[in-house]
Amino acid sequence: MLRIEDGWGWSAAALSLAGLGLATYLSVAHVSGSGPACQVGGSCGEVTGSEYSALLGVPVAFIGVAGYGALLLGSLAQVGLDEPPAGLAYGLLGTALAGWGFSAYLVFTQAFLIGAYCAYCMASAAIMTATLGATAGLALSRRSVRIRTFGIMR
Amino acid sequence: MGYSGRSGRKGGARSARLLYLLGGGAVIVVAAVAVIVFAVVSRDSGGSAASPNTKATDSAAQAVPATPYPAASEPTSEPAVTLVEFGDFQCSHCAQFALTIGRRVKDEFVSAGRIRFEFRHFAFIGEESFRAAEATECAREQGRFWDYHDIVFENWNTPNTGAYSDDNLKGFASRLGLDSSSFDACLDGGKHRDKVLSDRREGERLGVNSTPTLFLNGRKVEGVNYEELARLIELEIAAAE
Repeated sequence: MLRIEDGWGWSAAALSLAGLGLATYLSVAHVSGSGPACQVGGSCGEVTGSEYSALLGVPVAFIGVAGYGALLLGSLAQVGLDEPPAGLAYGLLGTALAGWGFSAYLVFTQAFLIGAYCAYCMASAAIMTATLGATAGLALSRRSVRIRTFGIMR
Repeated sequence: MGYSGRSGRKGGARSARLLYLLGGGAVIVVAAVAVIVFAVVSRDSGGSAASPNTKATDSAAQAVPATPYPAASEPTSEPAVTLVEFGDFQCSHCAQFALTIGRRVKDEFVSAGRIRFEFRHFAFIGEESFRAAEATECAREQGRFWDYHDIVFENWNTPNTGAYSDDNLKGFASRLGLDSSSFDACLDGGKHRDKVLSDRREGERLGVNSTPTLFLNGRKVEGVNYEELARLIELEIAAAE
């Protein structure tokens, strides 16, 4: 039977996989310059080609690949381990929280510094927000399981 | 005493499951990294896909060659094949196209008189898109459309941040050695605004919703690299002969 924390874990893994695919696509687009064309009504070209597409010389899409990759592996370990370390769920939550903060910064740059939105970047931000929700659910469910296990919750 | 909520499951099966899950996840992550590394290696070995920013920096201090190509919109004879690009000067992908694929097309097909290459304005990113487009038409009056087109794209920068201010656009004209007084009067007077808007309307009629968008003898060509575009051009030339 699927335990509730496994449900959250699988959700986080699926969302991370989607985010990883998106970040990989944007990385290739950033590197090759042959990615999405400049779209009327929401241009990625303005965003992926802007000075804000790299942070300290590292393309933000690469950071997305690293973040989503870590979340994917952590989520899979969570659902695969017989007794996942107590800190794993919280580690995933912390990583997702950092990713969400980074996504919020990128949305801010699009809105106020670049003046254009990239649909792919916005989709990534939405996925990261959902991942944050899934990892929060995972951490909370883990906490309630621990409480029940130790007999505090009746 | 540790947490053991899953102690009823068989350890061996769980270990195998964990192995599959983490192994599968690792393969996916490694594949993603491999795709990116391949893109980096392809770019570096190709040597033709430098970012517009890099190009602009490198070219800033260089003298601009005078008329490196025949005026592509005014060929000496009329080729049977026409390539039309709808572009916005503030679009980074248009800059990328112009400085890589577009240059190769001009070198290998236009200069040889094998095709006609036309640029149509599809300005939509901001006011500087329109001003840059108008400026290229002012340069066309002096027979230097393509030179001006190139210098604008070489100086691409973040849209709507002043890269194509009127002062900069006039500066490009000076660097090309254009007649400044007539160029400035043309730009200041908005002489070609209607032409730019007319091109945009034509693009909309043809279903253009992104830039660069190419039409080869009237057929939309999407998502091609240079080799594929060259192959399609050769097919059109062969069909016309």
